[in-house]
Order: sequence, then structure tokens, then C-alpha cells
Amino acid sequence: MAEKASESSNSISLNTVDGKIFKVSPTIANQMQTIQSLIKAYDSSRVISLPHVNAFHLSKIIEYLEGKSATTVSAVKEFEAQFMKDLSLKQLKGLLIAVGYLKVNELLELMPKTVAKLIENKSVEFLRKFFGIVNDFTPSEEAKIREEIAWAFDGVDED
Amino acid sequence: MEEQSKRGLRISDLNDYIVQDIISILPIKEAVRTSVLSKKWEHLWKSISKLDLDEEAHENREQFKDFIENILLVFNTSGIRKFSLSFQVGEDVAQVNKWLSRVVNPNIEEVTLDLGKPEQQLFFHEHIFISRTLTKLKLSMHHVIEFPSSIQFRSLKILSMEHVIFPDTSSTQFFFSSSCPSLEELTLANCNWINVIEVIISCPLLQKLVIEEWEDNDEDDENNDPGGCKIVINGTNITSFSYGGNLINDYSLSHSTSSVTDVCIMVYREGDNWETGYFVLKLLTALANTVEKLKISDYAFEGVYLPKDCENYIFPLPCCFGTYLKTIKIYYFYGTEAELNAIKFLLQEASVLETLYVYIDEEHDYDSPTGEDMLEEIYDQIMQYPRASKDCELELE
Repeated sequence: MAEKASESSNSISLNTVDGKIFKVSPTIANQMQTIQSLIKAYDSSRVISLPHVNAFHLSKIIEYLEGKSATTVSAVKEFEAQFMKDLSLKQLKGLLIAVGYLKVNELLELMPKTVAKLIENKSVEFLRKFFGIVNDFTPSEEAKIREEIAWAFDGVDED
Repeated sequence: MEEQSKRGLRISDLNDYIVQDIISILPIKEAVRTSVLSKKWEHLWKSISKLDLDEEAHENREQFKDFIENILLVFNTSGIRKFSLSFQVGEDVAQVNKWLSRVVNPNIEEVTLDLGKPEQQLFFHEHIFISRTLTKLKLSMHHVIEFPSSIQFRSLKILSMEHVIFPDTSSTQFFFSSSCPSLEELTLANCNWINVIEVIISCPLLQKLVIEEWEDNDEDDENNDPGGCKIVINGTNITSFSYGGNLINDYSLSHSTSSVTDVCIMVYREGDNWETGYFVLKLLTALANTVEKLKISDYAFEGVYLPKDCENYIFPLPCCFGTYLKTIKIYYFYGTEAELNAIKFLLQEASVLETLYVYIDEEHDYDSPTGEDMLEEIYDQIMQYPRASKDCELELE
């Protein structure tokens, strides 16, 4: 989780919600669309505050972007697999939120695949919990929906 | 500190398009089932951009057809970017035509259709054949394809056709010369050219060409008439060329294809080594100047280089053997004297060769104790041959 300090004078300083300052190169910063637009809006010498991102998630995103750019095609695949494997379910969720907020396109391509694999064949309750969904159906409404899409429940033992 | 802070965003704040990306990767049945999660989720799956329908994932044919009908009732098909259908169409041509016309929209990017043997003509929506956005099209069907009078794949980069029967010379020629200006990868797998006399495949940006044509003994298609179709390939940017088959049609590469570095040729034609050899040599000569990697099956190999089997072997050896060729792979090796002669000849000629791979035919039993000795013997024998490239290594597998 070491801060990646770039020697380059045009490096960009990012301040996470838990008060850590990260210095990143413009190449890394530009791969986060949200930061890219913030750079344009800010005076370049200022530290950019990220009220929605903590140090752990930002360090992971930087680790990914650096790891990915440094290697060959097959090595990238291996790196990506290991990168995702090392994350707990909770960390994965948090990272997904940060990646969605910062609009890191590279990870927005990869992470849905990882998440989909994880939630496949899981119960309705698991999915509600995972995605923080409040069930706003009344029991009769939910029963009606289930009836309407009974054709998609063939061969499934519902929980 | 791994926790999102209280001021931070929650997972439920995720943008819908990210959630829909996740849903679209789930098997379609599961995607539909996310309807029951909440009022918002009831509709999310209906606008995913990828729709993947596969008969195999369903218990039976009727259930699959009902499933699709149900989906199409509620799905927002105008948002589909990637569509895939795998279905043995058979007699249900009218129904499939209806599905396709519902699903294919002006912004579609990728279409994969694996349709088995339709009993009648399928009509591909004009949004497939006149598309600004389509980049990838894979079509597999045992039926004549009907090309509409106007075709324009402006953005198509990858095209794969399997078992497709081409209708006639003029429309097929038009298709392969004028319709795909952006095409980079073309695969023609077991296509049927019986209705076509001659065709020039001319795609200026084509980089990779894969041709397969193996006789199907279960078929009475008569797609192996002796003359075959004359197919000329014309593409100045082709870097990778692969042919595997029984020489059903007559392929040649025009002299402008001077960029090929990666070649794979797998040929088998019973009892006719001379013709096999001529065919392979013709291809190799056209590719000769630049080839760096060459994979070849031993039938092709014997045919070209075996003086014993072929009286007319006086063709000059393609000049890539002396200039660029660094790797040769030989498959289905049996260890016959004829094959060994051929390898001897190759080693004498290929002066910059770095590695020669020889793959023993799987059916050949080299695992028995005597077999192992024999393998060693072959290795020793090959190693004794004079080599034009002193550092060339031999891999026997």
C-alpha cells in the first residue's frame, strides 16, 4: 500500500477521504476519467480531493493500472487473474464502487466479469445483500413477478 | 480502512450501466431472474446490451422457443449491441426470421448466428447487410446464403462463415470484392462453392485469412466436384494465412500478397501426392519472400519435397527457405523413409532455420519399449543429416 510517488514535476496529487496523499503520473491519472475532468477544472498545483475514495481502493487502482501497462499480453492476463483473486468479497465490492466513481475504463471492463462469476447461481437473498437492494415489492407483487417470469425459473430450486 | 467511509458511496449508488454490464454477463435465464430483486431491478435486465440465446442451455426445443418469445415481448431490442443465437433452425424458418427482424437494430455491433440446417431461406435483416456499426459477424448454416442486392459492411473487421453455400458467381464476387472495405480477419470454414466458378477475394485491409475445407463423409452435398472453384486471394496486408483441407477448391494467392509472415498448411488428399505437392508449392511460392513461421502437415510436405514420389519436382524452392524461415513444424510424422528424406532435404536448404519441430502421429505407438528406441534412432538419424543452418535445433515430440 505504499504511496507511489512520482519524481516527475507534473505529477498529480490525490487526497483520499481518509487523508492520504497519492502522487500519480499524468498517464495513470488520465486513465481515471473522473480525475481527468477534475484536472481540467482545477489549478494544476492543487491537491485533488476524492471524498468518495479511500486509500486502500485508490492504491489498488493504481497498482492495477501500473501492473497492466508494464507487461506483455499473456502476463497481463495472469496479473489480472491474480489481482482479482487477492481481493475479498468486501474489498471487491468497495473497489467496484471506487472504480465506478472514478470511471476507470480498464477496470470497468474487467470487474463486471469477475463480479458476474461471483454472483452466478446465487440466491435472491445473496444478490439483494450483495447489491444493497431493498426489496420494495409487497409479497403479492413479488409473487406476481415470479409468476410472470416463471419461464425463466425452469429447473431452478428457488430459495 | 478497507471499509467504505460513512461519507462514501454505497454499492446501490452504482451507475445502472455498470450493473447492466454485470447482468449481461450472466446466463440469460439468470439475468431475467434478477427481475424479482426490486422494482428498479425488475426492468434493468430488459435493457442490457448483450443478448446471448443458446438452445443447448434449455431443456428442449419448444421450451427454448417459448423462452425467446417471452423475452422478445418485454426486451428493449433497440439497445442490443451484441447478439448471439445458437439454434438448429430446421423447419422453424419463419419464426427465426421474425426473431432476427426484432433483434437486429441499426446500432448492432456483433452478431453470431449458429443456425444448423434451415429448411428454407432465411432473410437477414438489412441492418446486418447494410451496417455502419457491425464489426463482427459469425455465421454458421448449412444453406444457401441470399445476398441482398445491396451490401455494405462499412465497419466489419471480423467475418467468419461456416458451412455457408454461396449462391452464384456474380453475387459472391461482388460480396468478396466490394462489400467489406474494413475487413481484417476472414474465416471460411467448410463453405460450399459449388455454385461459383471463380472468385477473387479482395479486401485491402485483410490481415488474417483462415480457410478450412474438409470433406464431410456424412454429407451427400457433392461439394467436392473435381474442378472446384478457382479462388484468388488478393490482399496486400495479409500477415497470417492458414489452409487446412482436402483440396476441394483451387486457391491461389496473387503476387501482391507479399506481407505474409505466418503460414499454416494442413493438406490431405488420398493417393495423389503430386497434386498435393503442386498446390502447396504454389501457395508457398506466392508467400515466399517473407515467411518466418511455417506449419505444415506431412502430407503436404512429402508432396512438395519428395523427389521419389514426384517426378516433376523441379520447381525452384521458395526463396524464404534461404532468407527468413526460422521455424518449421511438421505434424503427423510416421517415420517412413520418404519422410526422413524430405527432412534431410529441408535441413540442407533452410539456411537460417532455428528450430525444426517434428510431431509424431498420435496413433503411432512410440511408447512401447521398442518404440522409444525407435524414436531415439530417428532422432539420431536426423541429427546426422548435413544442415545448412549450423545452429538449428531439433524438437521431436
